[in-house]
Amino acid sequence: MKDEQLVTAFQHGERDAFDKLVLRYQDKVLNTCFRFLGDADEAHDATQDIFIKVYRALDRFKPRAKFSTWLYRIAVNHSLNLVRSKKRRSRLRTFSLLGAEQSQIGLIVDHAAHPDSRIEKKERSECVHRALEKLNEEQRIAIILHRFEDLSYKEIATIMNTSVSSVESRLFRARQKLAKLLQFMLD
Amino acid sequence: MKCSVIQQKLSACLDGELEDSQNFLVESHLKTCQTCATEFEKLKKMDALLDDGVRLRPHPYLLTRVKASVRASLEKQTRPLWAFLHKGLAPAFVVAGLLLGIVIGLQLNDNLPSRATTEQSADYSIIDANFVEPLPSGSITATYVGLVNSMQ
Repeated sequence: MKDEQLVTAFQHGERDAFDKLVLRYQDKVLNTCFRFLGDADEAHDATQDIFIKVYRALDRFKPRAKFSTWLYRIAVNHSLNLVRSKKRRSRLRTFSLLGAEQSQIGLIVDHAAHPDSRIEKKERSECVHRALEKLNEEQRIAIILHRFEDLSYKEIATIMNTSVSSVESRLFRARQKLAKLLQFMLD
Repeated sequence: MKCSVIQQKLSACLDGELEDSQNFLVESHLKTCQTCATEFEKLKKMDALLDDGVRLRPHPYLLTRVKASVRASLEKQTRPLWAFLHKGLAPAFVVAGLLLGIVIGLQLNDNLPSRATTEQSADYSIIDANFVEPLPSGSITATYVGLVNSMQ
């Protein structure tokens, strides 16, 4: 069943259609939030809040846009708000992948891999996250949606309410900056 | 085409987002320009670095939690005013109930002794008049009953 059909079903009183939408998109929303927030627990909380917002607003959703576009926009805005408020409070937590790995929720990591390689992977992720934090918001949104969620330039342009050429330019600049920031890892 | 123009297209070329004609131009340039080819390789390596393979697994109870939260907020919205008042005034109702209980208890306490006396007199009268044989005169029991009757 397509997203649009599920949305229509929900709007006609079939509340179970929402369950299917959550199951279909929970992974994408969670990992988008995770890339912005850099903290597994916060990403889980944010995902829950986002789907609650979606449930409350779904009756009013007009299918002019794709459901996924709308959902990603909510996820991005919610995550950015959290990042901004975190910055305001100046209580940025460290990017703790190891903590998440030890928690019940866990990460999909290669547990068969040698511990050293896991630590290396964790350190690499930390460096990548810190580099992503150095990008401006527009560049960060573009790179996260493209590199981690595999969205096309056109989809990103719709989510960001901009043109495809702007997305191209943002990704180009984001990559230039990331290449400089991660230069030490490339050598 | 100038290197600066080509380099601006490298990112989109890497993502396969260029139109065929532009893609052809960039790829042709990369075959002949070492500087741009090096830049392209650097970009590819950097992109590979971003692939850290980390993905979070959704919480198994996410849907349950979302629905519970939605249900709770809906119940809150649809709850009538008296329910809120009831909740807010619950301690006052408890105190009022206790006070009422105490007052009733005191009232009963005041009434109980007189009722008991009445019942006792009734018992005595029943015993004396209707349901027992007359006591033998001169016995200890007859003397005691005579004393009690003279005190009343």
